Amino acid sequence: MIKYLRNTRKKLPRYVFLAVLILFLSNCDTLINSLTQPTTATVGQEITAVLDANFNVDGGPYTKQIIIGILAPKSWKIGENAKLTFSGDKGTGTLTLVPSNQVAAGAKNGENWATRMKNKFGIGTNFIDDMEWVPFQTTESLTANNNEKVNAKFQIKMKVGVDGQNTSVKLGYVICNKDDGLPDDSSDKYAVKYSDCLEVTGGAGDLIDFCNPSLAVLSPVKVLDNDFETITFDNTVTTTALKDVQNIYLCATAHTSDGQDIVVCSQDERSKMINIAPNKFQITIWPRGYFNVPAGKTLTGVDYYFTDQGGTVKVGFGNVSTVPFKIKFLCD
Amino acid sequence: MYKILMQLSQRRAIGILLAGCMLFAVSCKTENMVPMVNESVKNIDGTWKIASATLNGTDILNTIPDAMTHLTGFGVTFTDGKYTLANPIPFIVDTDGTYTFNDPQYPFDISFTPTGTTTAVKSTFLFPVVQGQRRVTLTFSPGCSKNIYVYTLKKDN
Repeated sequence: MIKYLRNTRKKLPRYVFLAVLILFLSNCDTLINSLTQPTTATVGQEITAVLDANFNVDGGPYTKQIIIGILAPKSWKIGENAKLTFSGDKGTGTLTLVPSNQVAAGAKNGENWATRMKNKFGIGTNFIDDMEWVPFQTTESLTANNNEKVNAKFQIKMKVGVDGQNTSVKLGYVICNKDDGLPDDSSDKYAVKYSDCLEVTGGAGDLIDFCNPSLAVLSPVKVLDNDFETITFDNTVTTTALKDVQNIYLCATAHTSDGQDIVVCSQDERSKMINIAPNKFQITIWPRGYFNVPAGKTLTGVDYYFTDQGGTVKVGFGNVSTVPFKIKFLCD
Repeated sequence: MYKILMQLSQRRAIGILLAGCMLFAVSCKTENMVPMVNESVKNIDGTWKIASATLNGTDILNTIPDAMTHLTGFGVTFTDGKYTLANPIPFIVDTDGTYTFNDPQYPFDISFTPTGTTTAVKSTFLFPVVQGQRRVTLTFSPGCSKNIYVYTLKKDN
């Protein structure tokens, strides 16, 4: 008994040293060396982005699948419009969509990979929350040995702007392995990078600008007339005709499916926006109630301006007083 | 030293023996059988008001002025399989009608059928107890299917 205790005491430093060594060794840094991606494209065009990545392995050998996530506008349906391949020290291979029923590694609430990426990185440095992370995985596991520095180039061919809309957006890319995922306590297990602003032109309608803050922000982005809709007027983005005005009102015209217009443009308590931050104003409406839509009729959209208390000074789309901001009642 | 250790382990053995005997004695006690009780049919009759509301996981009851959402004015009254709405807001249905549970004893779904229509609109149904009072939690999408509303209702006294 005593002998055993004594032995343990002698061995203790050795055990501690071993434990620390194991902790230190079981490390696999993931780095993105560079991201190459065009900054212009036309709607429906296929572009190629290349991620040059390194996996610096200490310890191991490890055999793992690699996961790549792409952040893009939801309406681009990147899951159907992207083809991913890789080539490098471990040969070549392809990546396929991660099924949405697969729980992400280390996800505390059982989220899938797309949700885990969205929770972790949001929409990056973009301004409109109408984007999704789409996860892909290598079809086979790759093995790396102790102290190996594995380089791989991931080639992402994707059709952009398949919705036919003029768009400018900063795409996002994340690389991790399927076992470690995106841990909150160690940021060297994954690497994330955002592209410069990609301008997609040649489409119809007004530019959907994810890259720059806009005067008017909608939340949720996609709604019908029977949803709550929050409109935020950010009067700090640029100098507007309503500079320093503290009482801001919504002046709106709703369009019904049978071609009628319903105008709510009196500057009163109902249309008054609340001040949520210095020079930021917000209003939440339930369009069916706000415009008093008769039963059986539906709204297709709303045109709106921000006005002062007198209703004479107006700010509309593009910071002009003649073109309204628009809400279209459409889902994905 | 060795002797002390031996004594210690002897004492422990006696202790374990004693504890074992006591367990035997206790285990002989007769159990009172619990009478069979049928699960009650869930009764939600009465008027219900909003206690909490979220849209896509974000609180909309306390963060947005009620003058904009009119959430506190909303009420739904259930009586004998019928429901009536007061001060409409985005909800599963917008006109009065009838409701049914998928199972009256163990309801997980509630279906609303507005008068004059035949199609029912379904919501998941939870019936938790909060501070000794029943709550009704409904999850639904009145507009775009990706916009998820969760209203928790409490009985209006």
